[in-house]
Amino acid sequence: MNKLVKVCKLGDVAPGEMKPVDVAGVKDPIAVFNLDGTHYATSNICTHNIAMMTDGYFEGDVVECPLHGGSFSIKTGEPLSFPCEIPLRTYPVIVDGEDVLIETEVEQS
Amino acid sequence: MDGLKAVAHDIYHEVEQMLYQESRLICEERLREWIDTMIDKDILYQAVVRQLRVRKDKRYTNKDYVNILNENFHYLEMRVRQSESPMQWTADPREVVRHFLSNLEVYEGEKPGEYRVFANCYVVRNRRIYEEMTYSYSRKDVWRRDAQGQFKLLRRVCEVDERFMRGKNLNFMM
Amino acid sequence: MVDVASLVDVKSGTQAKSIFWDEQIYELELERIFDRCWLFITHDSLIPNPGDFTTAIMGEDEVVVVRQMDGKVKAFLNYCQHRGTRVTSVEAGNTRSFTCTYHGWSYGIDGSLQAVPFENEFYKGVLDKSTHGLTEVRCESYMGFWYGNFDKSAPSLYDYLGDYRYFLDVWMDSTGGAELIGPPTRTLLNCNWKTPAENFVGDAYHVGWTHAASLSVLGGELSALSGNKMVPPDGAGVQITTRFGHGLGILTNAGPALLSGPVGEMARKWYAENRPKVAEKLGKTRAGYYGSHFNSNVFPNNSYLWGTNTFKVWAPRGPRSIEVFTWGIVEKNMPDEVKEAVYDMATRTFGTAGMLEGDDADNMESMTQLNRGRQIRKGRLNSQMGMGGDKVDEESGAVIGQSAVGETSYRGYYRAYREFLMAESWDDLLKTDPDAWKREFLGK
Ligand code: FES
Ligand code: FES
Ligand SMILES: [Fe+2]
Repeated sequence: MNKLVKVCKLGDVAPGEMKPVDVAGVKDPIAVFNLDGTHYATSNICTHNIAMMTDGYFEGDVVECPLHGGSFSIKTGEPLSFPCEIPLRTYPVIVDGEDVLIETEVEQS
Repeated sequence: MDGLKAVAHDIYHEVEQMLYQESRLICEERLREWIDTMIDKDILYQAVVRQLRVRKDKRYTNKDYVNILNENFHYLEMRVRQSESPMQWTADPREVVRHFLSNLEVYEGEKPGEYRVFANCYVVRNRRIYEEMTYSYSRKDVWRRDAQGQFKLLRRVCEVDERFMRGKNLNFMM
Repeated sequence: MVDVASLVDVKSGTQAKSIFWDEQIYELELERIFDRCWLFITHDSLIPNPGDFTTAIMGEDEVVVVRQMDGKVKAFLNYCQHRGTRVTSVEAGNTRSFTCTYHGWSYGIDGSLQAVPFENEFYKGVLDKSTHGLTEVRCESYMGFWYGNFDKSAPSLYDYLGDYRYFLDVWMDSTGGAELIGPPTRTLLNCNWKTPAENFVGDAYHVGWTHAASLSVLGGELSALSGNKMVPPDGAGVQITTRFGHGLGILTNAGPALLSGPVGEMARKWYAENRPKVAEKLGKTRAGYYGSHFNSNVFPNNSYLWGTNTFKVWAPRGPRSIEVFTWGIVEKNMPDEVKEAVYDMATRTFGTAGMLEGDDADNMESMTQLNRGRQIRKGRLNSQMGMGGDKVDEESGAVIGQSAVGETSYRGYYRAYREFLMAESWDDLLKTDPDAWKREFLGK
């Protein structure tokens, strides 16, 4: 079952910044991006290997992996450069009042 | 190529001869004659060495080159005077700087009477008893014809291939 | 075996010529000097942002120096913990990791081993990533200048510089600090690494003669010395040496040195404007030093000139050749056009096509290469000029020879050189009282 889960509050991630978030019950570590005031969320693990995307560079709407320099669109997860070929999972983001939420399946604990 | 317009064959030939003459003046240590007859007063004479970077690295903000030569007429003439000084011990005994030019391309310049000239240069430099050094670099020149019809060098940029200079220094006319 | 004690005779101010040639001495230098001393690696201005890195050579070891995400700086030996290839083949950049090109191990900029291709599939748990980070090298900075040290028991950089800081501060602190302009040029010289170091630490004597032609055409304050036409008058300068061999020579008021014409005036104006500020901050004596020409060397192989604004590392490549690294050095707060003019002149004089750089090369190479001859190699080198005239300077704690030309700093350099070669360890070096070296040096 998909649910809305809170990843951060508005203002936690400044425009142009990204932030790693671990959400209870969500398997994937999440990366939250603020692109000119609009929030996006992706898996935080590079599909090429194991790196945390939030340790890399966030420029324009592209996140570049710290390890081997592969990159993805934060909007679509589409791989943009070598050596990344598998898309990065993206999550729908909803802002509810002060809260930034993503829609994802949640494990029952 | 590169939006450049090649010159007619006779001009190409003229420029080619002129470049060989320039090299010969340098080889024969006739630097006063060289600067008087071949160098434009507005000369900018440069040589560049580049630091090695990762190709796609755009984030490091410091410049990646050194202008090891960055001379206007004033400083170029100063170097000629240095070479003429009886106290320039490094040039006494004589040293020989022999240019080998190739891959010559001659195009129309930005203004009428100006020419863009590309060449590859290989220099063998002999000095003292045991020293022979070699240098490889490209030259991008702009030459212009003065009122007397004589070619004058207006701009020269030499891109030095070697990052670590085994030839020790570039104290010669490139 | 080499008789180390006799290589330098502090009393008579002489050195054995074999120090420029002998393989065994060279190995001992690597072990007792380069493994022990603070060696220049980079400057803040070359790695301003997190992830910025530059490479360097310490002794014969390649290192990479990286600005961390928190702004601190770390240095590592530039080799992969797997099979030992370089982790970076470039000289500078900005990165979030170093990935080895052999099998692809990736290290974070903090040196930790982050990723190993097919770690689970091939290593099946036998590889302990936590013990395979890059080998860290101790590094510290003074006024933005970063030095590395392979010896955990070495004193701090601050203490290593010691009394020498009094003089460093004249340029590096007084007007808001100094910065380097890179990238460095890298050139070969077929000389022993000490031949340029001793020249920069203490040789004002050669300036008028070796550089006679360049000085005569360049103009500026130093041109008067061309061809030894002029004896620098009393009070025109000093020769200085300190505990660990760092030393310098100052030619008073010879500031822009080789800058003539309008750019020279621009630089002179800058110095004149700033001298009162230096007086306020550092006192009268050092305000007098500011705007002067400095030839200096931080022991063992990091030389620089203020006034001609060049900054060098003479990296040893065996006993008979070196790699010369050359940067420009300027005051941070100089207006851009002054910086540019000064840097341009530094390149023109001591860069790869430097008008003075070429002059020095022949001397350094023949000083080295002639020692191929067994008889020549048995000879000794003389650095006696100014002996008897050296005094302890109470204000700085250094030993000063009151002469614009003299070999005080040569003697101090080689006194320290001998002490380093003789000592078993830093503990050994530090067990004497801090003034013992002055008594030895002055023969008291
Ligand atoms: S782990 Fe991200 S590009 Fe290799
Ligand atoms: S040597 Fe570096 S990964 Fe094998
Ligand atoms: Fe010199």
